[in-house]
Amino acid sequence: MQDIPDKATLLAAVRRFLKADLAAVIPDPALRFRVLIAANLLGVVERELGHEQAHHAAEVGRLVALLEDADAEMLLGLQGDAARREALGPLYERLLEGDSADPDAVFDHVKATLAEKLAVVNPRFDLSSTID
Amino acid sequence: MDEHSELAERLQAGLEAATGASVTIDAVAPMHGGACQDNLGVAFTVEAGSDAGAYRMVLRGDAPSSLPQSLSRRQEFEVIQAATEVGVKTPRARWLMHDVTRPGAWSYCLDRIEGEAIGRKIVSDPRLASGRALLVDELSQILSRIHTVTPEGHPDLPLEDSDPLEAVETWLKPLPEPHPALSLALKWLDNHRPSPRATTLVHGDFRTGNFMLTPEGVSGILDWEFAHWGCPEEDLGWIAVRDWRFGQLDKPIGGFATRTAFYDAYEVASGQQVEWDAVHWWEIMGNVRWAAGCACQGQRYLRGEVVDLELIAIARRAAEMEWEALRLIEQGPSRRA
Repeated sequence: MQDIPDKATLLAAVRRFLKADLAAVIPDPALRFRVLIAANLLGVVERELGHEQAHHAAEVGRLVALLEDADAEMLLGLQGDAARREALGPLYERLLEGDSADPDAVFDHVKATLAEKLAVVNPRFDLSSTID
Repeated sequence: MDEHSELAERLQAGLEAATGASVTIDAVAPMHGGACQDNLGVAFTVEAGSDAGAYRMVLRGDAPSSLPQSLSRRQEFEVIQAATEVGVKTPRARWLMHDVTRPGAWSYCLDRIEGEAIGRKIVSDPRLASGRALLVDELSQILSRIHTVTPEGHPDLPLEDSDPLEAVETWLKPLPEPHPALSLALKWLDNHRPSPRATTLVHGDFRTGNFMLTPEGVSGILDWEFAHWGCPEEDLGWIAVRDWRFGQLDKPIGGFATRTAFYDAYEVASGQQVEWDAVHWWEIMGNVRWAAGCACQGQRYLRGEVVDLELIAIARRAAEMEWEALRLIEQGPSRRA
């Protein structure tokens, strides 16, 4: 176990430094834009750290409901993006090849997973169905 | 000798060959803008002949790597010539050259035009309000002129007429991670293809961010990198893609107009009826294509082709376009208000 400040606190400190202290004093607009992109990417990582366990569990829960033979316990135990991607990839291939009896439920699952991704990537993205 | 003075020597040789006159290079400086191609600001003087004069232009060269489906500068040059001939307001392209920006790369000079291209300012800057009021009329007229260029009228234009779904699939194939939303959307698109209509020049990236606006109106349409033969509804759907609204979600056409206002204006300008169901299909296709494009831009970084923070930041934004494609499939086509 590391000492405090923990990684989320460190990331937040760097993000605030880039956005509040550094960006304000960079005269070159192109460089300032990149500093703001960098700050935004740190925000993505912070939100991902906060959500990744819950989002993985939710995605696996829905996948297991759609593919009855999927091994929930094994999938939930996976640590790290690479292992998760390797295990989930073939399940998505089966879903999309029509291995699930309910195409509407597959559609809803994919949309729910996107909503979770967007909560991390861009929490300001409007998820309502009637935007225009 | 630094990078730019070597380039200045090659530019001088290229321009002298192209103009048949002696040329003095006055300045070469990098420019910001365009995540895809190499653009440089250049100033030079052509000393004699029919092109004699002082010029401040943009030198646009092939980038070291680009997205599949994008044109070379040689093709782009010919497309701009064809568009200019039918009266499309776009910066004039001159003097196609080879081996100037990099060995093997094509390049040409583009007129500089005045105006604002930044999306958020286009849709909301109060200083541009008078220009914004002209966007529906001017852009629908520009677009209808682009669509008067046809393969029959321009048999020598070096353009492809590729299947749009196959094009996106070639973008997606090298991606290491699954994109189930895109697979679902592609399946829906394949099952709902609109019947083919007219084949015309398609700009391929006609949207807010790719035209310049002044308080007097549109000063020119930019960026012909994705031009191809296709159907007019493709450009009409692309300009409605959500990512070009810059916060003005209730103005689906580029963040500045309703669909009804823009498609009606296009019908008047072109004399052609707009098929709303087909445009809806292309709007979904546009979101799928831009989602795939975002993921591909990230791959260019991950493969080490381009070290650019903007490219890696764009990759995860694919989820936004994927969401929008699924939302549009669920909503069905919009109807004329």
